[in-house]
Amino acid sequence: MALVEVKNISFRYPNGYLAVDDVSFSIEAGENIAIIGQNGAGKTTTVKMLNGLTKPCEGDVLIQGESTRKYTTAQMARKAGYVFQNPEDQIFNATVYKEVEYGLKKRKMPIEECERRVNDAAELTGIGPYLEMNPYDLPLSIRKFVTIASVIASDCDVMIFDEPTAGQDLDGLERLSELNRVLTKRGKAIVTITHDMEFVAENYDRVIVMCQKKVIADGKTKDVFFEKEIMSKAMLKQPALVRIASQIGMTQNTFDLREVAAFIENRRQIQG
Amino acid sequence: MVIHMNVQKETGRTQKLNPLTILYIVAALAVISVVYDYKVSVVCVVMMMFIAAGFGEFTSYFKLWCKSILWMCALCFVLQIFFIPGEDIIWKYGVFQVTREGFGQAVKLCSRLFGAGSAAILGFRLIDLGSLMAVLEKRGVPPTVTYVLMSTANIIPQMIKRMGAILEAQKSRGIEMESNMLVRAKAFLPSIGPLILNAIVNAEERAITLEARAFSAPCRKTSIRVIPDMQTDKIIRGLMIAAVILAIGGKIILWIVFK
Repeated sequence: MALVEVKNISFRYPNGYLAVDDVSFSIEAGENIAIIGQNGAGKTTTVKMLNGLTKPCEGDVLIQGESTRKYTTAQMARKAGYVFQNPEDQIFNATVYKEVEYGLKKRKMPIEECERRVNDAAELTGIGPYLEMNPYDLPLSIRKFVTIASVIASDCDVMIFDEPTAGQDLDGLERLSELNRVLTKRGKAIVTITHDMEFVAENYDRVIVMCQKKVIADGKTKDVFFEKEIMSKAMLKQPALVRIASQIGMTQNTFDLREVAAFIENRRQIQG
Repeated sequence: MVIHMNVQKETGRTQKLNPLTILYIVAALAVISVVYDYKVSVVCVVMMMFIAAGFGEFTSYFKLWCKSILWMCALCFVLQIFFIPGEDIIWKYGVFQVTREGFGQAVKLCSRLFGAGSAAILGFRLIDLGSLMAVLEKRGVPPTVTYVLMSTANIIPQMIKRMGAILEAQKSRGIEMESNMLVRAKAFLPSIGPLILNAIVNAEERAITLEARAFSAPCRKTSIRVIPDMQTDKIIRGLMIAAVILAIGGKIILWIVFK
């Protein structure tokens, strides 16, 4: 049984606007998935249905075999954590430590366990030095990691990140990559919405492409990114390396710079 | 030097009348319905319905009116008739009783709410606030005042939207909000913090943006809005002022005569 099963879900807003149309996919534990697509493709509405923030009008979402319809969003938060695009919507405690600890205290977790989890999440996200600071005194990129740490501390099986790369510098991006690796090793399913195709190419094994409220491709990142037709239909730009590899006529789908360089060198030698 | 610029022409409903004229009509109807009894209020509200229909806004106005004013009046009426004490009891069931005095007072208060409330939502539906502020600025109202008015009118829907996002974020981190009133109230408190902080941050950013666009520059301001003020507008405004003076004057005369 898959950790997350999305079965033919559709969502229509009360004003009649169709936001998601007959979307299906499943996610296994330890999988690392990026959901990509242009603005308004239905990505955020789809992931909001994974943690029960919105309930599908049609179809069903099952987490560990149980429908999200049976639970409130707060109950679902133990299974599926959601990091919002805007950290300001989430943060309200006076210190970073209290902010990360908040969800655990709500669950009446023992203090020692709270401490262990907060410290683990702080170490993973690199917010250790800021634990006693007011989150609003920190830059946006760090505040984003504070909200990520809050979800990591909850130890949910599914972690949803909405645009985690926005506003991140190279250090932040590397930390996010490391986070993905550690969390998937721990068996967590990571679902990320992002517009950063280079980041997706480097960090995600599987990609789901959404276009006009539907899933138009779901497969290995390498395979999907080399499908020029799909990428242009979804109004997505292929990563630079993919464009170069396609341009020079490489038949093998690769994100490895060394392989592309070797191919060019090889061709140069053949051509004399 | 010749400067060519695209002039924004007002279209649709706002093209029919100057926003200031609509404000005069709405204000006049509100004053008349507040000054007189429920029969006049009903006539005024019917007139408002016709005006909304004339602007092609009947359906949206009627829906909003049913959802807001009708409910508010019904609630207010029920509360008033049961809680205002009196001597002449006209209905009694257990501890609940309706007195003639309470009934009269309820009708009086609700008719005012009925007229003034209906006029207010008609104004919100028909007047384009941006155009109204442009007209007021042209008539000498300082831009700072019109900016404050515009911001105040826009801040409520913005805050409601923001509150929705904050509540979603708090639900996602395990704060229960789908239970009884006490649980909801407890959950609401942590959500106020981000809302206020966001509002402060937004206000600061907006102030900086405005300054970057020469908001308080000591020079004559220009506007891309061209809002016509026809002879018809002037006549209607004059009629509305006369109607209000007559209504208030008539009421004073009636009061003196019957006293």
